[in-house]
Amino acid sequence: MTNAHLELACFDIHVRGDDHAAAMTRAIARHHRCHVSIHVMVNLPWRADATWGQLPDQALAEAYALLRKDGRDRAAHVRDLEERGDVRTAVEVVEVTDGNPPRAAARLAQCADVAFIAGPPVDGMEAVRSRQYIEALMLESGRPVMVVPRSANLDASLSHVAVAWRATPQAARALHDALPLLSAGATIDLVTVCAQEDDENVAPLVEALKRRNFNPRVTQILRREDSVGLALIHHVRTTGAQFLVCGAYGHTRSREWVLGGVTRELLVLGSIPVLFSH
Amino acid sequence: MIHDVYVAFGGLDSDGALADATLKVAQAESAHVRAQYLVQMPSPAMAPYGLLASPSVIELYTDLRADTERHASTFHDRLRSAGITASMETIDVFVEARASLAGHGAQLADLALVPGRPADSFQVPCWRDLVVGVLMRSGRPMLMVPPDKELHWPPQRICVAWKPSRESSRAIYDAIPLMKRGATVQVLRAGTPSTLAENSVDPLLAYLSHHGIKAECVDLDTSATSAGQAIVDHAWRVQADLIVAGGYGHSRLREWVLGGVSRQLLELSGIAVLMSH
Repeated sequence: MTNAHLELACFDIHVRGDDHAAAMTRAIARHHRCHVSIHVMVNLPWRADATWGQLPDQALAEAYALLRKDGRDRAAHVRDLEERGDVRTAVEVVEVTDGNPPRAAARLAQCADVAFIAGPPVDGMEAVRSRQYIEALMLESGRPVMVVPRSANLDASLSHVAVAWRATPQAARALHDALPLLSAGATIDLVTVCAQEDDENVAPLVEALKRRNFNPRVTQILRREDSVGLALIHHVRTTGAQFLVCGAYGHTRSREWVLGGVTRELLVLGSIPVLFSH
Repeated sequence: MIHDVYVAFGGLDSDGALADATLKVAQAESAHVRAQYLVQMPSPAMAPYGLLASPSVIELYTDLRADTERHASTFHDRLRSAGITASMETIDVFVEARASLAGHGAQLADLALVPGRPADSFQVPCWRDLVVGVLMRSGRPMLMVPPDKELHWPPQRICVAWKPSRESSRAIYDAIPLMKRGATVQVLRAGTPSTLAENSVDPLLAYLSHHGIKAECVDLDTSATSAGQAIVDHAWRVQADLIVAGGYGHSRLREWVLGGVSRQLLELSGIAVLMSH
């Protein structure tokens, strides 16, 4: 099943994994023969350190010129990679001056079907930036977000995925968001992590997926000492599923979003692509 | 494509219109129907030594259950004779469980149908539970069917209440399969002239046209009226079959409370509403 109407958006946020995220976006777009927009995000920060507010001083102008050039260079690099490809792609530099580029990215993602972004680097400023973008996309865009780590396998036959299933609105949404991406008849591993056997009744879900001509398989992981995130990653790696589909959980804590435990684990440990929906 | 339709009946006076609408949607989509009857059982009277299971209460329960079963089997027969596969479930509801039962039940569906606001105001709390449960706890799009207006399916004239928020963009995403079928689509942008300028609608129109949907943008001035009222008025003026809108709510001490515009659309519009949270 291909879906040429899909609109995939990939965000280049100036971290090491950007090329990899773009490559995965292209691989999926190639499968569906659909369109890709790559947004090269450029943050032009305000500097309100003068007594009377913003001062257009020489240093700021130079910094802007450097940042803009950097954005153009990154866009040129992305276009360079595209030219050898066969995917309809639009590359666009997005300059953000309100100090909140992640929110701008979330707004752009609202006008696409799936957002793609690089997985978080281990540490440093890149990791902070990446976290802000990933959180904003997950929690403010209302769209599924595919987080692509650098070690991800880019095979995109889309015939086998795993779903971390719990009877929650987030997981239900993630599953339904993933279905249009999959090939007809794809194998869907429903992985439930529970305290004891038969905790979660998945029979109605299996029926519903069969009615759509998918091939659901049920796997139960008994929850022991080790982390749920690790168990899920292990399952995906041993079965060769192409990505994991998972609800993104988060709470507002004093007006700031905080991601839930498993969501964070999957991001930090991430060695597999994960499609999150909130 | 809509493969699975969930429908929540609450023993309300608007259930009949909901059954008709469900049949229509399921037939047009060749969808499977999962129906749940979540019927309120009156709480037994509290006596000095605990709950009083008086014979009259037991009789009342028996009658209510029989009534519900009868409705369910009549509806099942109607579905069957229309060639629609269905599963029916009747559940007695005693306390707070209604919202979470409905939310949970709708999780596997492509579309969850709920009744419109009942005429009998004593039934309104039950109705609100169903709506809030499905909207906030299922993660699926909810279709509210008004009791006194026949549902047109697939809808021909769709009004999309838009603002650049997660909820609104979610509702649009969920409504794309419906808008794709050649419907006339208007994107409504409500605000005062100064706030309207801040939110460009062009990226959204481009996204919709990418999906083969031709939409036009209509600005609604809310300087003199509320956003909810402006949307409802406009929808009536253009004789819309469906309003698509984000469902807003706040969780207050584990209980969801609907936002003002969402409540206005659901309670007062009298037009079918597709909502996602």
